[in-house]
Amino acid sequence: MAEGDRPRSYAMVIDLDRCTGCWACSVACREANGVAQGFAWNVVMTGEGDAQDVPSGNYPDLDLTYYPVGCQHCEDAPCVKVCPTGATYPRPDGIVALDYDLCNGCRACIAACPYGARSYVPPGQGARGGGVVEKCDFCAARVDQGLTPVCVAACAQGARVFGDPSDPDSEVARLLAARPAKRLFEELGTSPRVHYLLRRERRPL
Amino acid sequence: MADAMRAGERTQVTVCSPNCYDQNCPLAVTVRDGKIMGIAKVSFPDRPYVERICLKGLARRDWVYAPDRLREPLRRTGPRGSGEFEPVSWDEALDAVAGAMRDGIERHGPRSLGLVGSFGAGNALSPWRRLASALGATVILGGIDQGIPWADRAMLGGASDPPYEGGRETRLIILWGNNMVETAPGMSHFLFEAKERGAKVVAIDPRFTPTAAHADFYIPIEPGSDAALALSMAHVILRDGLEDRTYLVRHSAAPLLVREDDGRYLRLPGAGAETFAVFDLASGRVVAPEEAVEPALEGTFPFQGIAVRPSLELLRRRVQDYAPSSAAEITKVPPGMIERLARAYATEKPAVIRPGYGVERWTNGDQSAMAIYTLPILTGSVGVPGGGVGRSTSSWPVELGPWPPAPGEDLRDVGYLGPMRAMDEGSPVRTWLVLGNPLQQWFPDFGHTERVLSDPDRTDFVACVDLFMTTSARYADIVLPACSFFEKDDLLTLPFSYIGLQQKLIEPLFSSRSDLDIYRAIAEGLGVGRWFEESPEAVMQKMLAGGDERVRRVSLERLRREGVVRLEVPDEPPVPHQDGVYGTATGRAQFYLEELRPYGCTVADYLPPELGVSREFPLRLQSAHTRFRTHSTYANVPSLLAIDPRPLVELSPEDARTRGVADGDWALVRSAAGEAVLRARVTPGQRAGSVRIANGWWNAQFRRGSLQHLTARHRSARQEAIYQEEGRPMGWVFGTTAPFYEQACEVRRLEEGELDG
Repeated sequence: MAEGDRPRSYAMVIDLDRCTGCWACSVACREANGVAQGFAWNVVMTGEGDAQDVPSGNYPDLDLTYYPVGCQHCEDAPCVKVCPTGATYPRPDGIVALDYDLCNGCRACIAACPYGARSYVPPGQGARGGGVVEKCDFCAARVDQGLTPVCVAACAQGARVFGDPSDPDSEVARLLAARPAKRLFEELGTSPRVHYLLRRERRPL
Repeated sequence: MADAMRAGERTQVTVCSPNCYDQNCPLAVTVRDGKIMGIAKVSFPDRPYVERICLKGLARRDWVYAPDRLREPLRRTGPRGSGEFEPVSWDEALDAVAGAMRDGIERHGPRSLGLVGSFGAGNALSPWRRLASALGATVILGGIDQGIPWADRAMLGGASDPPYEGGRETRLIILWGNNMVETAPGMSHFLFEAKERGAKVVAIDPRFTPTAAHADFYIPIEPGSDAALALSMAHVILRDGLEDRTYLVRHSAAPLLVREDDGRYLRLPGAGAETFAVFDLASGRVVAPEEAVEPALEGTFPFQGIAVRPSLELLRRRVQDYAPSSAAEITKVPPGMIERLARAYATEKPAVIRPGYGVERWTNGDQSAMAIYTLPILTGSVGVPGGGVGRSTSSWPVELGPWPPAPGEDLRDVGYLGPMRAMDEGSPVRTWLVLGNPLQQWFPDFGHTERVLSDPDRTDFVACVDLFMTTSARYADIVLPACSFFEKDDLLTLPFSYIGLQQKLIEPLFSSRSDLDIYRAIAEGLGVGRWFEESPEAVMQKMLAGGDERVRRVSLERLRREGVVRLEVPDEPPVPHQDGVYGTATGRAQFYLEELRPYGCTVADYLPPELGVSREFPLRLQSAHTRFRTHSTYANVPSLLAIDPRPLVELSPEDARTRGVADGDWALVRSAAGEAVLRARVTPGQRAGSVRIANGWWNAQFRRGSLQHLTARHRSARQEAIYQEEGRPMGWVFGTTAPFYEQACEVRRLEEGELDG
């Protein structure tokens, strides 16, 4: 099938072995998307809910794994189901988008999202003027121009890869085929489009 | 930057230069209507794989437009350090500074003026240094962690840092007290690529850092005991015959004979003054190295009535005391782990050691550096592709030419005060002109600093040039608002053999001025303005013209167009010392340094920390850096404060439990020098017995006191003796280190009512 015939379907792959927890993705997102001070579309969690930069385990047998978390762009997105105005909607390419003109700030989506990926920004703040719920949209405007989301572009470690996993030649498909991965709260059946490549085994000295 | 290009919008490349461990990155800056709209990552041209930016570079817009940017010159109205100021005009401010400096020269001579510029504040166009030379003032040096560069120069001849690009042959990487995954985010991808090619990574650190988390193997170590671990590795290597005897004979001073009577290398009589000697086992004679068939590496031999020994024999004797079982008592690294580490290092070659600043910030950090640099000599892991030892991340560096005096004129000699000495009793400095925040960052024991600065018998005047009200600015009589590197032109170098131009992209904010303009105006007020008549453009042209042949080929016009330019250098970086050249005293890689005879430690030794822990102060305090700041730059940036909002003292769960301190509690940290009040974080990543307060917070960000109030003014007697005796202009000739990580302290929980003492 020729490129262009097939509908695109985007996913993001995050390599936990390369993520250093540096927050560049989050700061880049804030800069590019005009996110209000005190809010973030994309944060870096330490472990699975541990305090920031605090390893888990007992010294010296410790683990420190960072999870950058933003909108998971679920295939079966709880936020889309509860949005009363249709402001939140899935694009054909899988990006869960937001039409800020339609958002009335009711915040039902915040309650529905299991990932804490959405925040209500009070009126007068941020590039959208506030009074709306905001979240990551995979930088849809950039994607439409053939660019990667800004968090992907900003990652100095190459920990984030964006692309179409249904295209077997894509980097995301290659990585998902080669390495074990997980998605967050897979058991909820939301089917996120963000995949986390698991850390490799440490080699003994 | 094809996206979202709007009319009147342009994107230009400039260079971020905070004196961070990544050593400068290009930035793509989008400007619209005279305002920075965005900052993005951009490749190093011709090196697409070197593409990087970090959270701090991305937050530079937030830094430039931070709400606390200084808007106008300020004059102190309250006591020094009170933070009470009133705005004054530039003319008044500059007159006050020049007037105070003129008074200082008249009353106490030009050496009473202390000029200092922090590394994060200025670049190639370094006007503070030039003004010091125009006046014959005293230049105050930083460089509190110079053990590693010193060891490199003395033992390998310098410039040994293995390049980050290349190194495909590397099989083992030891990151020793080096948290590069956090502090050099632009270099970390090289580490991940090496790992993915099969290299094994070992991290040695008292604290479980993000680097330890990304290593294959983590070796927890007692803080300050690095020399004992390195010497124990040498013990295992020599005990098991894992040393590279071919390398040792050919390239090192291991076979060179050392005289027992005076501890000097033996020079052959009658030959040239610097003809060294070896014992040839084949002929049974002492001969010049090139005449020997089989130079001895062990033993003691008589020569003209004195005993002589190959220098390896002296190392062998030294490491006798460092069997893994003995070293384990010092380092708390289990003997079996030391054995495995030594064996891996000696056999999984080529191996790289990248020691970090963590091993140096001890009174005896020079010995740790010397012990670590002994290892690649023993195993021949130097001068080979994929091997080596080094701290620097300025991979494959470039040197610009100087900013020369005008023809027929000479700048004056300056006085130098080595690291930390300007606050000493007897320091000539009475009038300070400070660029950046060194008064906080460079001098331990801030309580003492405060007393010196507040004492009219010691300090006549303080002026500070900066963008923000840092700690140093708070102690100034006059604060002069400088502009950022986005608001002026400057020239600088980047890693991987690049030159970059910092372009003026926006006008200086408020009434701020470039440091060059500020120092020029002060110079004019002092009658030495002629040194600053050239335009920045002309000076940059001179710096390019004064560089080596490759630098001379880069034009300023091209830099204006492209921002960052790679020199014409080969694709592959050179392997340091592959040519077999070692610019040391013996012309060989050497672990025996005869010039240290008067001070001991001709061979590296473990010397216990001089600041002892005690019943009163049982914890060791380290101030390792984080990803959120570079020294004290960025401490005020809102988007970074949103992530990392406040200073913390980090404790192990054990130490927290025995002190009744819970995560988030207020804590009082006390040392013999002073105290600090801040929140506690309890983390299993912290080693029991040591606590950490991350470097770089401004004093005012602590509830009370500060990190620098806790640190002691202490220097090793050995370093002092060398500094005093040699009267060397550069205090860092002998591995100057400051014990910023050595401080002993105690922590206790504070109730809300006790916070303000």
